[in-house]
Amino acid sequence: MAKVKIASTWLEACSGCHMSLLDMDERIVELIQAGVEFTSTPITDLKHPPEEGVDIGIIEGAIGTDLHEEEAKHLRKKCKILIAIGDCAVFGGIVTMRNYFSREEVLTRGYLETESTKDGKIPTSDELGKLLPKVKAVKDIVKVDFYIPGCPPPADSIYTALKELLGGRVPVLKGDLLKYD
Amino acid sequence: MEKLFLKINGNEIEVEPGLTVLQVAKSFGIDIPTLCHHDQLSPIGACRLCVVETKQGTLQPACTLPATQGLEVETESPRVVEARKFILNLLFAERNHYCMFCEASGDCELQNMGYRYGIDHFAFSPYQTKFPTDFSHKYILLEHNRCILCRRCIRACSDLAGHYVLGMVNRGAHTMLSPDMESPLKASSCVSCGACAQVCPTGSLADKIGAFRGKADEMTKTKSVCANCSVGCGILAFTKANHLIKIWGEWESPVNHGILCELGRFSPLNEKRKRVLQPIIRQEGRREVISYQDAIKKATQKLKEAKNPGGIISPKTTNEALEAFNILFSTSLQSKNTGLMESYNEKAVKLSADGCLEDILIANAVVLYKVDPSTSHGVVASWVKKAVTKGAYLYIVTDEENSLSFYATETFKTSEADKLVNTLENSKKVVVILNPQVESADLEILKKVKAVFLPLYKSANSLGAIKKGLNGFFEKSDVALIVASDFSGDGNLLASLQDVSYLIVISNFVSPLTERANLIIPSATWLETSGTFTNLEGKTQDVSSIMEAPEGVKTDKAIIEDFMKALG
Repeated sequence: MAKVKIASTWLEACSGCHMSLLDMDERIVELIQAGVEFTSTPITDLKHPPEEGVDIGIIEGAIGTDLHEEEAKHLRKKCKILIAIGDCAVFGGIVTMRNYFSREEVLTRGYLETESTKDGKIPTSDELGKLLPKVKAVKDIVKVDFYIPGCPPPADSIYTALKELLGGRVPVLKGDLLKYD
Repeated sequence: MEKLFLKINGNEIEVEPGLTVLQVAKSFGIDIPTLCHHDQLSPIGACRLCVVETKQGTLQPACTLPATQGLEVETESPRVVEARKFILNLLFAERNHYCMFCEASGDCELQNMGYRYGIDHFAFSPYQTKFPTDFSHKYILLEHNRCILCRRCIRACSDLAGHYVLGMVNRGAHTMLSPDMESPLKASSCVSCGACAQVCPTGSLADKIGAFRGKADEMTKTKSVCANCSVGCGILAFTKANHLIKIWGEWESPVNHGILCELGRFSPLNEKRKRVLQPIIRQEGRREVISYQDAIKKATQKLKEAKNPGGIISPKTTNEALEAFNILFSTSLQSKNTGLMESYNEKAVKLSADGCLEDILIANAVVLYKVDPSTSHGVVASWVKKAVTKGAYLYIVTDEENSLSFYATETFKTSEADKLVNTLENSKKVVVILNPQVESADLEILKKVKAVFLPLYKSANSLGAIKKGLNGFFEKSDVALIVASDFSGDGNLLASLQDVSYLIVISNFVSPLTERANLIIPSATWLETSGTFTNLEGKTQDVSSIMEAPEGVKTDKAIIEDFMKALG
């Protein structure tokens, strides 16, 4: 049976959605037995999707820096179906709170002015992504094929979606599987 | 009248004329989603979520579309569903509708509609503009970022409560809900009735104390009657793990129709007084905690030994407790020495035959006779404002400032109160709202006025107590029992207790009265008591216990019955 390869990544997010993915528990084994192969994911600790590409790409988190933008575009290129999971990836989510302030205000507050900061410094290394003026949802940067909202999405939603895709159907999330909080 | 025949989703339906399509659909169990519509408010067709498709192919809002002869509509056709999704996407894009950090998540009507129509992402990127938040008000938070401009709050504030504080300013995407034309809520003419927060479909208006304390689904909801004045408003109390989270006005109550005042909605949430939790005896200058049984034994022994046992009861306790109190004194103690914490002019009480609050709403003239209901009987003030808005004349008789004088046609000094008689001569329906503590001279004037009289008693069950023959303090007593509820005992009461050598107080809270007492027995508050109250109209309404009393704390009625058992 041909393997269905999955690559996932997290961008501007809290990792909660990947926790929810792990929360599928023994059903992860079931998915693997059904032919799923997890390639590059934060869980397998592989950074880049395989050269030959994957079937399903999963993005958790919003697009907050130029690095996130690049990663999202790269994964889009490497996958056939792209899923945005969690409110940050789907809507922009909680991280869009910073959209109400300028980049300078956010960095100053975060690195210099928090009550516990002493002699703070705004990091400037080239290795770090640069904040975009506004946080965006993944769909604002690349085409997204399927959405699983939730903060975090229930493990059942992720499982149902993957199971439906494996069966060659378009998943429809309804009832308890569709939630925004 | 002629019947109408119309078709909804292909089914022929026969209805009375004068209804909207939404009302017809609802009565036949057809679910049309709504957002700006609220059963208690007049429909304005603002959000268009309730659109239905007519035979002619037009989309019409069901909430404002009259049911007419031969009308044919589809309520969930593909076009309708597409239009509703489009509307939801526009609403989601307009302000901040990220649910995960919203107070209303779980109770939000916009969120529920998103779920119903499978909105799994925003079709349009949100407008990302920061709108102000107004946290200035003591009880109500106004979060413009969550507002969908449905105008429910405006309609509740004006049409239901009569306050006309909220309105809209600006146009288009800049439209903003605004109290008193761009005043902060705190500085506005808001009277903190909280109706706006009760009808808000999203997290835009909420009461601060109840906010972020869980979803309504996870709370226990209890219907009861407010005990903060004699109006007797129906309430719906939300509790969680025996904590009071919020209070709503009960829409179905014939008294207040869902409207409350600051006292009713917020004061029970803000209760900070110290409870009496155990019976306490004071002897030889020392305070000691004793068991409930010992407290009953001691109290009854003292009352039995007394030459002239006396009792004063609070008008905030239930009719059942008042009855038990009367039996305790008349039968067990053979004493007529009973009284009430308040005193009223009996003649003023008799003046009101069958007046009811609804009369205010249909009056041509309303008189406020030496009374200012705004702070003490908020819903009466609401009704007066509504009557004035409908065209009634308002006359105020007072020597002091009155918070409703802005609405008054004329204000009379008390010395010129007799001018009322001539002024009201040609008015058809007159309602006189009066202070039942007025002098008999006032009543001589009022007798000449043909009107419905509404005396504003102070407490929830004042009229219930008066009807049971309790009014004013007792004359003299050596051993006295006071059933205080949450009364702290004012100077007059404390002065009248000067001759009392042994004072037994049954009280909710620590107060100057309990400080004076020789024996204190804790009692359950009205929130923890079931029974009935008689409101100012004479309606006897059921009060349900909303919370459990602390361990070992009993209701007034149960304590008085234990007294009777002990006295045999």
